[in-house]
Amino acid sequence: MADSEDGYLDPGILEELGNMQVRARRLVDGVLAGLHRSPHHGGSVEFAEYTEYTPGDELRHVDWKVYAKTDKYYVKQYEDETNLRAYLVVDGSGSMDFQSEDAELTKLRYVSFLASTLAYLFLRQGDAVGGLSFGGGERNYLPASSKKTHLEDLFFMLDRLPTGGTTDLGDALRTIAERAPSRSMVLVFSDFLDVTEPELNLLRVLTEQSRDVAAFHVVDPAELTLPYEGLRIFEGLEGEGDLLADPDDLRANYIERIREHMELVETRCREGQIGYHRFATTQPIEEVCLGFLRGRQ
Amino acid sequence: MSFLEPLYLAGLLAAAVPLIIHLINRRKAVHQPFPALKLLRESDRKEARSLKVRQWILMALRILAVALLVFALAKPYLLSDASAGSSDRLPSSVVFVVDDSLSMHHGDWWSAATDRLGRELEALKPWDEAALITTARTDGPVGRLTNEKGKLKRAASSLEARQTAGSLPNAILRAGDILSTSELPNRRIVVISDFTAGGFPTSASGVSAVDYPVRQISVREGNDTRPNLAVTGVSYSQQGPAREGRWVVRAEIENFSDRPVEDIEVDLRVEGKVVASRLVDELEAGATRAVSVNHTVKGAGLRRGVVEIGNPDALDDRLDLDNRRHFTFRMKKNVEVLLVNGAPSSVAYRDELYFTVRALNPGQTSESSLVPTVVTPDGLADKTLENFDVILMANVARLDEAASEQLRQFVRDGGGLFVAMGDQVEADAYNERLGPLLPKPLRRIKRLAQRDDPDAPVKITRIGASERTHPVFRIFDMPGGQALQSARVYKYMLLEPTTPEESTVLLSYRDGAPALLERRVQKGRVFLLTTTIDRGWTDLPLRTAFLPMMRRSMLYLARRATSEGEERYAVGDVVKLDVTGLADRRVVVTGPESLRFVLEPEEGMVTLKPPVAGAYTVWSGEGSSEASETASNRLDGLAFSVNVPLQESNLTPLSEGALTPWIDGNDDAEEAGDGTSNQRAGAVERLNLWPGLLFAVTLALLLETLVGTRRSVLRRLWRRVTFQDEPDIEV
Repeated sequence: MADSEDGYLDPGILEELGNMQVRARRLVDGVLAGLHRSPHHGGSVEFAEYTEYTPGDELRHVDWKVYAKTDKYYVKQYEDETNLRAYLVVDGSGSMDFQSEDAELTKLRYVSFLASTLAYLFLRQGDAVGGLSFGGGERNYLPASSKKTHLEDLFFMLDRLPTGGTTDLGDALRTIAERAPSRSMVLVFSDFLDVTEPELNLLRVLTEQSRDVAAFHVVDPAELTLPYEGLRIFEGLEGEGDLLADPDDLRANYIERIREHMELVETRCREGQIGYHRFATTQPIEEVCLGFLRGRQ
Repeated sequence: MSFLEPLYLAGLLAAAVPLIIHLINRRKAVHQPFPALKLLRESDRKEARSLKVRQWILMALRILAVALLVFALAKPYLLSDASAGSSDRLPSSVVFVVDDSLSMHHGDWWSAATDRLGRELEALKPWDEAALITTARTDGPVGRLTNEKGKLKRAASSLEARQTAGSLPNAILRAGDILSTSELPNRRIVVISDFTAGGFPTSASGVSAVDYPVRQISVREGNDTRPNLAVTGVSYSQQGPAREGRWVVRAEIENFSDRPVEDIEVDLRVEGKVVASRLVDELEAGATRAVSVNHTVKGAGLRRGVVEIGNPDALDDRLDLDNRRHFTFRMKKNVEVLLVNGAPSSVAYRDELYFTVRALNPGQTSESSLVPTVVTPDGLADKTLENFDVILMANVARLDEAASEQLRQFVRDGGGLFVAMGDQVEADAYNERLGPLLPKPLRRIKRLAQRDDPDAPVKITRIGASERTHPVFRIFDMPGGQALQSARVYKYMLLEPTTPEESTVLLSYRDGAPALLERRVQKGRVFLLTTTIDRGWTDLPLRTAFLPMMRRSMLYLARRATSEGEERYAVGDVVKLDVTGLADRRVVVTGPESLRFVLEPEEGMVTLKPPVAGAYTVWSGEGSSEASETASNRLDGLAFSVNVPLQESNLTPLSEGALTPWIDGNDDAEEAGDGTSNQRAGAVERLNLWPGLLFAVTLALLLETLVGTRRSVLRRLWRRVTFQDEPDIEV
């Protein structure tokens, strides 16, 4: 296996690896090797509270006695489980399906690897992980679970993320706000290209509702430099039409514009106590994971 | 603008290629999926227009470059009279040839020429060298190349148009010789002239062209078709007897323009006063009209006359100098008659010339304009016949060959000859020696009757009809004029019936035989009286008609004063005067404009070159210098007139290419020339445009490259040049 010089996996090699689980495991090995110590703190098995059943909850945790009394399904929640519930919100809109010449992966593939790596890590230390993917009007939601087998479901979801269509980050965040309990962790993976002020405000609302929110801002290098030459017809990936232009004419203005945009997103996140992580698709995924995990320590 | 290679212009079609490329390129843009299209669009608002504008500018530059290249290949040039070649900036040798011939006096041509010369001299660079020559002079004023501008300007300001003819070709050849001494890289000739056809040689055979470019500057104002008239000739002759002083002055007026001119006033001016005028109604283009003016001069002596066009302003004739012609004529006081007596006699009344001498000079006390001199036939050889106006031969038997030849020459030169018959006359000798002079050959003597014959009144004949209109016999037509017819004739000379040319019978006998005949022999006249002028064959000398007939005949036959054979001088000609015996030490010649020449005779001759037209008077300068010019020492016989040269009156512009044999003998050289320094011929200088066009092509291509190059490349290049670092873009 040809690793990159600093011991991280080359995203290109990662793409060639087999199924998601193998890839995630390899990534996690790298991450753990970088951390030097396990983040596992052990967990309590003490009963904490009841929550209403939702499809996907383990049947063995259904408290049949309560059912007998109230005629409603309640699931017992234990202390170790409530320790961390992480929700992976992954943007699968058209703009994510972009890969420049310098990048080995599309932005979507990159974040799916990243998300799966984090999911593996969380599950490995016994945290519950849920998922929500959105894009093109389609939303797939997976409740949080700490079962080992849940990983398969998560990988399945991340492997089949919707591609195409417009970004509806707002709807996705509203869904999460409804589903994710307080004190859970929400990790948003997106390029934030079409993000608007109301959506950024929603992120802040999530934080204010005692949720730990982190924004993973993925960027393709071409988006930063507009490296094209010659007359081009730029085609939008979310059905915005196209634009005939000479990149030379636009470059300076565009770079300024995208910087402003990224700064806006970052500023809003910082203001809302939201963890903000920006990375290019050429960066090793482990590095991004470590950056995130170290920030959390 | 003209082209040397106009076929190349077909290449303009290639200018369509950039247009086609532009249209194709518009469809060739590469599709590029891009996620941040919204942000791109926001950046594009300002730039979209500039992209289109740049595409159009690119296309325009390419079309321009192709079109300019095609134009440059077609070698366009302008004809310009301004000196504007790049070669002008090189050190130059310039020879200015200024036309100072007579025709430059036309209107304000001369001031235009001097103005132009001044401007050309101003345009000289300090390192240039120049010379200044003129067409009417063979030297100077600045005949060697110099870079002293002040000297050239002084010479230019002292130039004056002359009244002589000039030779433009010779001046150009001279300029070529001057230029050949220069070693500067740029050598040329600048000709400032009116370029008139007058005085220009019609044949150019054997001339060699100069090897330098010749710039021609014309002083004409466009297509000047104003008329130019000139008095091209004056001849005069005395009419009738000298004593009457009647003169006919015949002038020739020529119209040198290409349209008819009407109402030309021709004046005869004698001693400053207009004495006669004629009006010419119309003179066709290019035509010459002779105008005769009668004038009677009283008294003897020298007269100076001018025939001039009196109304040049009304005719819009702007060359004034050729509108007049000067002439000088002399009135003779006496008629010298040489009487050759063939039968002298000591008995006065028997002398052959007894009656004639008395008829010509009636008395010692009375004044007569006829001065008779009597000689014998042998003495004729000692006489200088030129000093006499008429020779009368009375009953001369024969003349030897030498005397006959003298006599023939005398008559041919204008002298008058009166031949009277007599018993001694040898008809054959006369016919042989004087045949060319006699109105008719002599045959034999016809005797009608002896004097003492009782039947004489029946046998004799009398003078019959006369030519009444002849000047001699005009008065016999008046009352009392019949006395001639009363004369009786006993004998007369019969003549052969042949009629030589110019021979007329003036007087006949009643029997029809001719009595007096006239024949014109070149300038002279001959009278033949077939009877005697003494009482030998007739009693005519006793008749009252004899005296007026003889006197009138002598005056009629007398040598006429005429302009024929006179020397005619033009301005610039050398005048030679023979002053042998008239002045030994000093001769003074005065002329118009207070001109005064003091000359010393060499071997009896003086020579001078009159600079202006007019009448010149010659004085013997033997006395003191102050009082030398008095009537007593005026040499009337040497007075002369000088007129302007005729050829300069023709102001027709030179035909195109007339100068070519002198300035363009080598067509190949012009073809192979670089186009700037070797151009010749043509009325103006050729200004080549293609070097400028090629420069413009280069500029257009450079601009095209700049506009067409991607800005990113330019920015990168700029950063390299200014040692700036590439900006980092952080994630």
